[in-house]
Amino acid sequence: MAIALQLTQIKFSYGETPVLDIPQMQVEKGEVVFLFGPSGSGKSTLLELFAGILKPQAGDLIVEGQNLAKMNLSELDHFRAENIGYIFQSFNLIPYLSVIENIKLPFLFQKNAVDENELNDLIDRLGLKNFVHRPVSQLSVGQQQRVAVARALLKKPQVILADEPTSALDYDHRENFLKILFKLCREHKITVLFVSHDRSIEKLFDRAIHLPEINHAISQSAEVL
Amino acid sequence: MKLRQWLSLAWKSLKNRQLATILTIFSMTLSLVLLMAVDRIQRAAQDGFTQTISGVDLVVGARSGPLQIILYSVFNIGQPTQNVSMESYNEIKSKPEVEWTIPYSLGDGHRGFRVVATNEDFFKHYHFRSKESIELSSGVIFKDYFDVVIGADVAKTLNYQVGSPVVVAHGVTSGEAIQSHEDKPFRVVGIMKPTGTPLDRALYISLEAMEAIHLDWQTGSAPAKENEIAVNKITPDMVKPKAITSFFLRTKNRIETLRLQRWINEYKEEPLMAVIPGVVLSDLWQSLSMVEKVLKAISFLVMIVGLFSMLIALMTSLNERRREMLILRALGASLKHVLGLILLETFLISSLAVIFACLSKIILEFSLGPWLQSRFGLYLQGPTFSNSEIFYMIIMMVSALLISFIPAVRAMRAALKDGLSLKL
Repeated sequence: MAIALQLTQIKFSYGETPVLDIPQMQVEKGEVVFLFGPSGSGKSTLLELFAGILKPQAGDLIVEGQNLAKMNLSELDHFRAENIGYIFQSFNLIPYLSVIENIKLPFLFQKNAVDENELNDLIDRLGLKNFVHRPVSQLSVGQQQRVAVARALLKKPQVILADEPTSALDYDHRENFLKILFKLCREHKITVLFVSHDRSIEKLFDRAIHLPEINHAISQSAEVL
Repeated sequence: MKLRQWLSLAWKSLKNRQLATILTIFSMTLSLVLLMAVDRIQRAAQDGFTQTISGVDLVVGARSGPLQIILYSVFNIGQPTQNVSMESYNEIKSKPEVEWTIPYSLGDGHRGFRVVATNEDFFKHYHFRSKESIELSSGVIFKDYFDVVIGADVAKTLNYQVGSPVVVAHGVTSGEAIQSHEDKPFRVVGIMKPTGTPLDRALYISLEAMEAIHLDWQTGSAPAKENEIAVNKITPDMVKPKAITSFFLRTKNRIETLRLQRWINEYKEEPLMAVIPGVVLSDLWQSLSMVEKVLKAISFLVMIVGLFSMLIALMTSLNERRREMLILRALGASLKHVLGLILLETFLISSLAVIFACLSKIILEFSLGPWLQSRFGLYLQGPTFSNSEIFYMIIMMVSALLISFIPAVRAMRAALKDGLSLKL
């Protein structure tokens, strides 16, 4: 199976404080992985590394065959625009744009044009058809998360990085949201790295990674303490 | 195609901060309108001033200073020192290179306004603001000795109509008269249309009338009752002008002007001086331009305040926009995109400010033009937008874009620092 995400000897610190020290980690293409750990364990930092927002101080960071650690800022921005879909915990959407404008927004930063058929199909399947022109501020949290999924999926990314997107949803909505997300990702063979501290949803994933177990920076900090 | 989407994003982002955006556009518009208004009024004032008299190549008077000749001949300010004899005037007038002349005889006044003695050539040849000539709003030009044509301001201030009596004050051009030519009253026969020049503030009689009222004033003061010469005793021979104060002259060929000027200045029979009015008026305007510079400096300061209000609005919005920038970054926006978005917003704000300023200026000119003309004699002629006004618009836009680099770079740095994990 091809490798979608791979870390080798990654080290990252904010100033003097080490945040990540991961000797090895990999995620296969199309895999839906649950990454969990307590607050401050470096989950969001790891996502930002995969998104090309941060650069590691050492090690190799390979996403879809490309080593992000060796790219400059502009190449990272370009790579992110083309390959990465990102779903936030909340406040996902630009409040002054409508549903459809939010969904189409990523195409502003890349050369490709929106495939209108795919757009309509996605809107249908995510149940957004009746409010595409509505301002996103008028949607419920659950509806907003579905818009965020549509936005992340429409550009057909290789990888979706999700930073606790279900934390604001109740259990029923959470499970429903994840089922839709995984179904669409599996159809398009999109790799998902899903970060959460809520282990009740762990069973829905292909695999789970407990970050403190692979992140030596955390264990070192704990030892120091 | 993408540009349209970028513009739409920038526009909606601005709309999302509606109040701050409107206030910023308003303050920038106001500052630009003020700057352009000062320029327009300065232009109108300068044109009005330097074109108080047009088409005259030389103003000739007794030898004194060029400024003095212009001041008393054109602006009704100050007193002439000497006269020009009729012989000299006729000799110069008859020179082949001279196209026409307008004689001026000064010295008397009426209730604070100057009385100018001249002839029909004044109504025929005197031009101002390039090609505009004297027109009467009512009545006719003087024909009889005691006819007077009055300027628009005189008519308005003194509430005179055609037929109103006018008593000329002797030797006084301002204030109330001590001695008047009460025995020879004039009658208003014509009222001139407003010109926005000093012409409006004078009364015009014939050269012969000027002689007539002074026939019995040979001692320099009012005659005794028994020495008064009655109006019906005056014959044309008695009132032949002997001297004038100055005269305006037009040459047939502009090349002749300098040669004729030199000839007059070296005239042996009488000490005369010929000045080119355009040159003196421009020099005079330059010496008066301090006020204009102060006004312009204030306007530029207002423009700077306008630009700073934009800077403040953009800077204060940055913090609340951190989440927005973060989302854009996560979706693939590069730091250049963040920078571009802020610059685009600034471009929209300053473009709208320029458009509103232009519209405001056109509306103000259209609505206030007649009032400025009648109240202050400011004629808004020439193109609506001068090169300097276009320059101000460009300055405003370029400065706005340059200034917006401050918030743009700050937003870029914040986006870099915040990453994707900003907790709001």
